[in-house]
Amino acid sequence: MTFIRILSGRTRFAYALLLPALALLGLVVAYPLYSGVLLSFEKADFFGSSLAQRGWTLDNFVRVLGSADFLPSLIRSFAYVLIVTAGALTIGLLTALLLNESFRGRPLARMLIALPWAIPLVVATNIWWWLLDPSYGLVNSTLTSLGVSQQPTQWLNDQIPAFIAVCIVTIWKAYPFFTIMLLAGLQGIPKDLYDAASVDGAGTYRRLRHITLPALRAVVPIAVLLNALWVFREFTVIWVLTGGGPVNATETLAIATYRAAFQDFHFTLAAALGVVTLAISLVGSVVAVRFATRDFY
Amino acid sequence: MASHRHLRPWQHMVTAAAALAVASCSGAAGTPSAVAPSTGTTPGPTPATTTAASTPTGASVTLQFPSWQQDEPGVSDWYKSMIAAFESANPGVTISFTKVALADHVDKLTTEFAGGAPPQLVELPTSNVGQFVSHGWLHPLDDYLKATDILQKWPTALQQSCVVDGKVYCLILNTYGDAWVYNSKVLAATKLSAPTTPDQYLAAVKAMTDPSKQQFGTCFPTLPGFNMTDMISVFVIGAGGQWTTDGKPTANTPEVVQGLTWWNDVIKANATPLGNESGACRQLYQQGKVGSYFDGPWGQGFMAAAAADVKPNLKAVPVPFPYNTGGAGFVIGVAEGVPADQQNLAWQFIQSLTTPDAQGQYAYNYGSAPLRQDAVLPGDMKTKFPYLDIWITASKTPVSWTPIGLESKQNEFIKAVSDAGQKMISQNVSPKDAADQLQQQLLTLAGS
Amino acid sequence: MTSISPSTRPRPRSVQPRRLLLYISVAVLCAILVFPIYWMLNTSLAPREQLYVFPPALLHPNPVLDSYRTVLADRPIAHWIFNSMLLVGATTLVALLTAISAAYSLSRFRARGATTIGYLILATRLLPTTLLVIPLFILMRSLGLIDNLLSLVLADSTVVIPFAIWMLKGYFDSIPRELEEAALVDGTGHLGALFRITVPLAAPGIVATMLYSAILTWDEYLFARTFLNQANNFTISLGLASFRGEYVTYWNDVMAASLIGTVPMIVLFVLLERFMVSGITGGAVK
Repeated sequence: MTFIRILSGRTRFAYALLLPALALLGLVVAYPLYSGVLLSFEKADFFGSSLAQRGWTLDNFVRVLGSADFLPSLIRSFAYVLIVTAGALTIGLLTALLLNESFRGRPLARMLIALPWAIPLVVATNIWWWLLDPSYGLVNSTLTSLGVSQQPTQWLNDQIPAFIAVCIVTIWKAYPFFTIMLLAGLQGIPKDLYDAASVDGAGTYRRLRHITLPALRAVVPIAVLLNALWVFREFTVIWVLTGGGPVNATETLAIATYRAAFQDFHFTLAAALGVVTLAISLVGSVVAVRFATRDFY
Repeated sequence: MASHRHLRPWQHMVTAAAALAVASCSGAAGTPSAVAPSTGTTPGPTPATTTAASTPTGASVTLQFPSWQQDEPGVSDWYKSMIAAFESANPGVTISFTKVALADHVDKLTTEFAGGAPPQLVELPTSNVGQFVSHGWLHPLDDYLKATDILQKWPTALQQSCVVDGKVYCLILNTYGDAWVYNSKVLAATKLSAPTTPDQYLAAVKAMTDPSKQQFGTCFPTLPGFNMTDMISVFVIGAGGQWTTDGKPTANTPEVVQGLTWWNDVIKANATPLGNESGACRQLYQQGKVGSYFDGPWGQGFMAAAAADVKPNLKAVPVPFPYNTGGAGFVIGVAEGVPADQQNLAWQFIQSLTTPDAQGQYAYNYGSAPLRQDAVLPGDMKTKFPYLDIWITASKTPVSWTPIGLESKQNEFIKAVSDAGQKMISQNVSPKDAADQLQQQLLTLAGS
Repeated sequence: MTSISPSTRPRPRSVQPRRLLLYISVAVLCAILVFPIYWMLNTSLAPREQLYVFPPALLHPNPVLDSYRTVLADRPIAHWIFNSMLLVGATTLVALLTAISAAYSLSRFRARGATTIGYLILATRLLPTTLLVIPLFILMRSLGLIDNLLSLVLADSTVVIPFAIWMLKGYFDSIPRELEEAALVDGTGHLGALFRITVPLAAPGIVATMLYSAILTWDEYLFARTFLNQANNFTISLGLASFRGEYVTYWNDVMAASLIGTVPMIVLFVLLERFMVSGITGGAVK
């Protein structure tokens, strides 16, 4: 009560405005998170076992971290995030630079280039599954007719191609986000800067080097961070395309968590894995925020 | 009966607070049956009613019945007519028969049981029964069955899939044996006749393959999962192998290695397209792109639905191996953790599926042998299903590939076998090595 | 492709080859990136017996609409789309109202502890959905919201809110405070200033947030799959996934249904896409 009284009216109003968002997040995120964390320390799976078996333990974490599958899954998760982010950022940058030019039909081009973002994940995955069909898919028939490969690539049956396939689909769905964010950054550059540079006789390269890229420095880190967080947790694409296979080639932490819970019925292990995943992304993003976006808030 | 709702006091407080926060929600908190708000009233946990089918006047009950077969031709028609009959005989009772993709079905049931809100009627692939029983999710049916003759008329050996520690937890709802479906025109072009031995089979499948035309001798599901394991098992069982014997893994016996070798030969001869699910495989043989396929009695429906120029050529013969796979495909049971009156109703519905007439209709819709010995079969069965006898014979002596002793780890087992197949495909691991690695994995699984 | 200047006054002599290169690059890039969407259309028009042809036809010589007829007759697609639209509308409304209010607080008041709260809100994006889904299911069941779109409105809006707050806070930051202060002097309260001055000025940012929210909600699959049972209550994502039946998957049917389920998003996207870039501008660039 005293605390509330010392708050100024202005501060109280500030908190009141935050309240609806906090209430919703508290209900739908904090409470399940709390149950999930509790679960990760439980001895017995939380159903099908009597209360007498209950108790607290660190065993779940010991088993998860000690498992031979953990490190490879972690590495795959990082590789997945890295490749997808690099790929999507590259395409995003390229398309953003192009769309920043003024030319006839630019609104149409911008719309088309950003369009994959509007395609539902389930649909995107289905389209690519069909495109990558080893026997009757367009990708393989194109590769063979161009003479790139003699044998059809077994996109979903070979370990490295399967990983590439998963990355391709995710990149296709992810790059428009970069295009839009980077384009926003580019269009925030005052025109006078370019005009001044032109007057000074700066060429294309120097304008890119000294005006365009520095301007993007504000946008890229936050876009990369948001995208990386999404990719790190991405489930639908991998699950529908490969189910984590072949022979675990595409099993990331998100897939491993899901498998532990819904395939192997080890809910406490799944919860522990989920908590570990959370810790990793928390540390990762704190570091990223510290280094890159000091001026966010 | 132990209830499996484990809300602790603090959880009740949190959910109560949450319930207040959501103004539009009224009075449903805590009712285990609050599953179908769209149909209006859901009764609270009323005291167990008598065994009479009717519910107290004015009350209505909805039984949830999710199924991956809800829209599959044949079996779903049968279910739907059974549901309609049950609903008209039991006013106030609605059976909500809903579609869930097979890939999602077990996962979704898991969430629902774990969350304490399972559907009353539980349809499962037979291979998952062990897992569900070990979690206490299925209600024992012994008391219900005592009053009936069902167990006397039901296939005794296969019904064992539903028995754990002497208690019956479900009823098997189909028995099947595999047969070999082939395209006689494609086979005739190779000058070979329908195979009766493994060697003839391998020769036929290879001869029917023409890579230049993307024409294949057969099609194996090769995406990790149930269907891939099922197909590998056709060969392993066919060669006389067993994944487990007397509850212990036996995945590297000479017979298993022999089966894996046959399977691998087809792969290495490029006689199957890779990267397909069973659905795509069936489609390929329906369109004449694939010369042959192993399939259960449901395969007749797909033969009938083949492209017009392919359909007359599709024929079926027995599996050309010493043994053929089969068993009980799926089962139905009653959920644990729902009110007793709903369990009674769910059982009454299951019972209605077992009458001689219902079983005759089942056979007629499904094109397979009925489960009940004294089922009343419609007269034109043979005209509708010309190859019926092949499948009925196959279902008389099928060998199940369900790994006895590892039932409660079914999904991990399926993944291990799929992985062994994947290693042979993509890493050129020899069948012998793949079998040895698999045996190690299964031993670890059995010990954990 | 190397020209960077947004200036509309390029030097005359270098115009032609450069322009040409630009047009070619844009055209090629568009063609490649949009191709999968074309492939969905092309496959949906294929007759069933021409699905497995090698090499696949880039343009079907005799397109048919059979698959559209099949899926519209066999599945309650219209229902699914209606459900998804309802869901998108409700989620967006809930998310926008809470996010506008929270973003305004973070942008204008900078109260003690608010920064931490802001980070906490953003940090909810880190949580693995697979960890949350079972406790959430228990919660929704206690609330009696299983098989009810409201459960998805609650769950999905919390997925949208963190990003929405971040986008809107950035946009609000870019709007000069002086405009509001003038209104405050006139006796309007903070809420009045927010809705009469700031919100209209932030319209591009709000529209961009709406589009983001719509895409996310239309996409959502895991929650929908866990909370919904009856086929008539499905969202479009869930409905489209249910096509992966046990026995047969006809790619032309899958693609036809996919296309039908994508059209509302494409329409929305075409209408609102131009706000996307300007909507983020305020947020991303300071």
